Amino acid sequence: MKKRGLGERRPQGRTKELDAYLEVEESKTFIEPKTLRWVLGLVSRERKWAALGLLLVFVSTAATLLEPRILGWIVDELIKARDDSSKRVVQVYRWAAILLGVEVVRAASLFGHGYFFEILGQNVMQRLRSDLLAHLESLKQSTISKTSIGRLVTRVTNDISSINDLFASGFLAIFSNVLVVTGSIVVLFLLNVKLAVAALSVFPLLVWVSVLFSRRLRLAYQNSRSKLSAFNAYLAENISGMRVVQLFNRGELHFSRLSRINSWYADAQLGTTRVFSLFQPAITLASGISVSLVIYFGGLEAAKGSIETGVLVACFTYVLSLFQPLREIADKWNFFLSGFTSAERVMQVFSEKGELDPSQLHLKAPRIAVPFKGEIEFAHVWFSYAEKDPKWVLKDFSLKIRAGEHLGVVGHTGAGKSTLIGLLCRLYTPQKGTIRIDGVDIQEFELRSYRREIGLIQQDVFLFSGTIEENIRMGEPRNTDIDGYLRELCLRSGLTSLSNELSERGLNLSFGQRQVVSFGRIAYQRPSVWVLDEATSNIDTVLEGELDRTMRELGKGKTWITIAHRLSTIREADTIIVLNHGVMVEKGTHHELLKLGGIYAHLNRFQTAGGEELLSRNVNSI
Amino acid sequence: MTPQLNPFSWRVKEFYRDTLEKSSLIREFIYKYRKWFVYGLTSLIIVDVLELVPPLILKEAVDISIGAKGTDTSNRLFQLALVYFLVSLVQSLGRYGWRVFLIRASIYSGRDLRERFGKFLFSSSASFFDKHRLGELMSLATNDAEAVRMAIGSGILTLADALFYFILVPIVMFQLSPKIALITLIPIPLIPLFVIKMEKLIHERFKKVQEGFSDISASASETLAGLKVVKGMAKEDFRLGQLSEIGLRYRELALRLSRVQGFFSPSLDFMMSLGLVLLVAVGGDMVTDHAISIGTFVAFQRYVQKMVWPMMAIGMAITIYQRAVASSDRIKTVMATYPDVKDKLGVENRFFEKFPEAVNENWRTQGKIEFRNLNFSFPNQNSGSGATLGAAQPKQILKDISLVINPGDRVAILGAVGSGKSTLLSLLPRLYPVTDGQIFIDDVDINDWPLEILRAQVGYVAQEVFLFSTSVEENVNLGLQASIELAPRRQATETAVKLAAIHDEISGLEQGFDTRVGERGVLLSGGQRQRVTIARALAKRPSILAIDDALSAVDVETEEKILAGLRARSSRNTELIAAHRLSTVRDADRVVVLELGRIRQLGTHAELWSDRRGLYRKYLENQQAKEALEAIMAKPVVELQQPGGL
Repeated sequence: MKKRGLGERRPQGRTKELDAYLEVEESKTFIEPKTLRWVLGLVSRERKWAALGLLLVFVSTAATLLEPRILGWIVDELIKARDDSSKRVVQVYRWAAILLGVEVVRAASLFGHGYFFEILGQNVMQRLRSDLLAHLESLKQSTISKTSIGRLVTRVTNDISSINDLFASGFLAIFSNVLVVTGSIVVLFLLNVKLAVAALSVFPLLVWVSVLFSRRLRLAYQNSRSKLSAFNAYLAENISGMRVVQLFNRGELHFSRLSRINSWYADAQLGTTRVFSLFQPAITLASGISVSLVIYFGGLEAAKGSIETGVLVACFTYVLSLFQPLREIADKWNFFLSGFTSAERVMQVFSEKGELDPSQLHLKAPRIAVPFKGEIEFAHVWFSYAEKDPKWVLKDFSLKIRAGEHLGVVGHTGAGKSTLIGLLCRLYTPQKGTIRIDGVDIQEFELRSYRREIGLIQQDVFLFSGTIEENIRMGEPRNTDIDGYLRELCLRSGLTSLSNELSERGLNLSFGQRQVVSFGRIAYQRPSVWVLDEATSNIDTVLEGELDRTMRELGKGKTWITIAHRLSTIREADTIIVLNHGVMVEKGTHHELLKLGGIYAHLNRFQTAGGEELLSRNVNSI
Repeated sequence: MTPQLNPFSWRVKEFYRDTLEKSSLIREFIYKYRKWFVYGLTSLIIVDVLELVPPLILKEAVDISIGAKGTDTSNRLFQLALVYFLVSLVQSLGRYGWRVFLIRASIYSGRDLRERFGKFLFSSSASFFDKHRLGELMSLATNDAEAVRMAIGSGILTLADALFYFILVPIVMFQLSPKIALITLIPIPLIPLFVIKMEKLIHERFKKVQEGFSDISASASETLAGLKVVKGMAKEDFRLGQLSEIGLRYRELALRLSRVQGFFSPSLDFMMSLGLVLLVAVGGDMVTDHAISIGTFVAFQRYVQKMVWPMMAIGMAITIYQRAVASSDRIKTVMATYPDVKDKLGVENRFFEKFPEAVNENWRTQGKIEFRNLNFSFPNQNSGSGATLGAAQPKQILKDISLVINPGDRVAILGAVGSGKSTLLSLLPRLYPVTDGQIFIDDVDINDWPLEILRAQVGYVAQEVFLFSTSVEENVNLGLQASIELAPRRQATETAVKLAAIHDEISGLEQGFDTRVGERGVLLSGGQRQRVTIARALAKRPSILAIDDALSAVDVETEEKILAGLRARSSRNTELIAAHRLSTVRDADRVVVLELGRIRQLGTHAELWSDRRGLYRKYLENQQAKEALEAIMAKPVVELQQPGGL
């Protein structure tokens, strides 16, 4: 059984149906050396800022410690000056000036170390973020789809920010407060040992209380965070599904659940408050004891004349300044820990293996792909998505496509058409067999340069935010020649301007308009092989014809692969293959296949004849 | 009739909202928890008054130690130390007190506010959620509610604390020495001005940083969501470059924020030390002139340092309050939307008079539906502001729909995107208000049906699948009364799931019906999700089933199985099915073809098919090409290759 912490309370009436929303995050209580080394490695490139920042922390601490002492000296000076009026003006004003100087230095160095550490954190963050995204981009698609995108984005954003907090607020706050506390202790001892001992008598107790507090606070924070995220998750889900909630008359029930989670959250917040409301008075009381002791013993000493009155006054301030930093440290320690928890999560992502198996890279220096002639050969390719217990999606597939040839592919859903494309684009690797382009195994090419040479246009077009033009060019330099063609197409598809911002990922664009964007991208990419995967099936015939003509023009002489379910789209292809359950069952030109009288001919009859008979009979019984 | 409001009354309303109602949320909660505020503020006053004592003790101690050289002072000092200790003791109790009372009041206020907002959301209708995005509503429920809570907790606390200090400390200072008090207090009034200005700047820059942060988040999530495209086109470096650019911009913004934030507290410290310098300059002379004692001088040091906080606090409190008022205003404005779909007054009584059996939860209608001269356009998004004259007429989605559907009939609805078929179906369970024309169920206008009963009768399956992230079973059970016992509940689930042809697949999962489906059901495939939503609608045993293209991701065979299963039952539903597939349409009793919100064709499949130029014929011919391919290819190859296969 877990011990019940001060800050957490088991929610009353917790029930199964809300468990899905109450994921408790595990946060670390200690720092692993591995993680620490990694974090230090991140900082090492920002040594300059770290050194400057640390230096200024020392300066500001020194100034902070100097201030009460100067005020003490002023008091002593004033006591002397009361009896000897000749030197009073000079001395007092000199001290005032020094005080002002110290304050200026203190303010400047306080500002300075905060700012330098912020620069350090920001620089680390910027570099880490780029590295992390670059790493994520290199991961296998399957690794990415295993995790939710939201979670990966959290790594790139929140976790990295939390690593920044580790430097900018966590470490800095802890370090400077620790310095102030130790500084005050040292100064107290230097001023008067007896007074110091009296003042510090309750201090160890308070440190223990602070450690305890820090732990309780962490639990309380954790509890309150998890309740808040449960509240947010439940509310967000219900807002998204409000129609369903209302259609199923669940409003009242779901509201009562929301209100239950809401109460849990309030209870968790109260838990945090309770921790604070015990700790704060404890500090007040402890400092009260210390100061009382200082007043009593210090007063006695001063009355005896064994210390100056100024020392008494200074001690008073030092003792008070011992206690407040403890609270800061106890509080910030949690930020520090959660920064390390985030660092671990980010490290975890970095440890995922990328697409390019490094061992493979060491064997052979990969070739940089240059524009191909475009001769493609599949030789006895077998492929299955599952490594263990394979269900073959492609079975012993062999095919040669000449450079500049147009291949048409026909097949039912699941016949293996898209798999074929995926293999060609090297999204997957075949279990058996090889794929060659211009006689070279495609695995030998450097991946990115290879993929540039394969242009894929699919039915779904993913649009990024930005303008249509940005979506088309994707960072390529402007090409007026291509733009001319595109402008024409855009007008046809009803796009008035290329420089309009897309709203909500282009949800307002029609299929045709999206396809124009997709086509424009490939036109700019200028690949050696053009692959069209059901690209034009949702477009009206006029635009389809227009797109087709422009594409042929720009992709003249390249190798073409077209996947379609309407045979009219591929009638003109040089070779047409028919895929059935992973096997190539027919191959030839349109006319050859018609003559063959197989599946293709069958299909053709239906698709051209109008199919009165089809509708009068059950399709499946044919 | 144009919705022209009387401009004068409109202004009065605005004025009232802007000036009088604005802070009412804050005031309301303070009133509600007034008892705790009284306790909390009393504790606070005690703490603050006692806070004045320590400098005086120090003063005494200093003066004693200076004035009484050689004499025995231990008694006096002991008394002082004891007083100091007692003061700390009472203070710590007081500190505990105000936290417990004030913060508790604010936490409960926050809870109440969130609860009220939640209740409002659950009673709002579909058009409200069309208008307000999820992000906006979540931000109201979290950020804005928190801002109001802050004003009630820290806001009140800071303000009260500051005011007490602000009054009490100068009083003591003037008691000690009016001259020094006057001079050292000179820089003080500048502080709140400074704080307000800085807070404003910080807030502005903070908002920019947040925007920058969400830009990063958007860019990263886009790259990851579109990773297939990025990889396929080898644009990794391009996207990375974009992110890095956004990141650098963010860095710049964050540093800009850090500059003001980092400037803020050191400069306050510095202002305080200006007071100290003034004290030394003026007080020093007075000490040497024997106008004040050393102790008084020391006490002044402490008081000057203490004066900074209330000045800073006033600035902070004003900022907190301003934000809270803005937030409270936002919440109230959104909550001022009245649901456009709700029960008419007394509708239940009238309904039960007509259908006394309806009191029984198991009562089901016959399922006769009639649309009579139905027109529909989405509720005006800009309603409420009479100022938007000449705004475009809202687009009419449905035009003059009249149609009678007999109990137990299946009607297929066909039409392109934007033809209005989804809207038509969504009106049956009154997701949107029906005001122009009428819909009758069992000859009763649906506006005269109590919403709850109506929605229990209509099983509406939307095109967009929505599942809760709970278990499959809970999702399917959604429409069942909570009071139903376990056994019949299981039974209902079982039946529905079998009808939706997903029983075997779910049972095959490791945890069966207890499997959690993940956020929006991501752990299920598209087809599985759709079938679970069908099962969900069936489980509540509706008399009318309205399925809006919700089988698109299910393969033809399974779809046919489901649809056939629905027809084979002893108690048939009246069914309205919007679909694309040939088979669905062909087997319907009647087909409605919609175009741009109008019924273009109506009749049986055979009737419509015979119209060679009709929309129906054209549409189905396109559809068939695709389906023929699937149907033929699904057959084993060998059989097909045999000659004379037709």
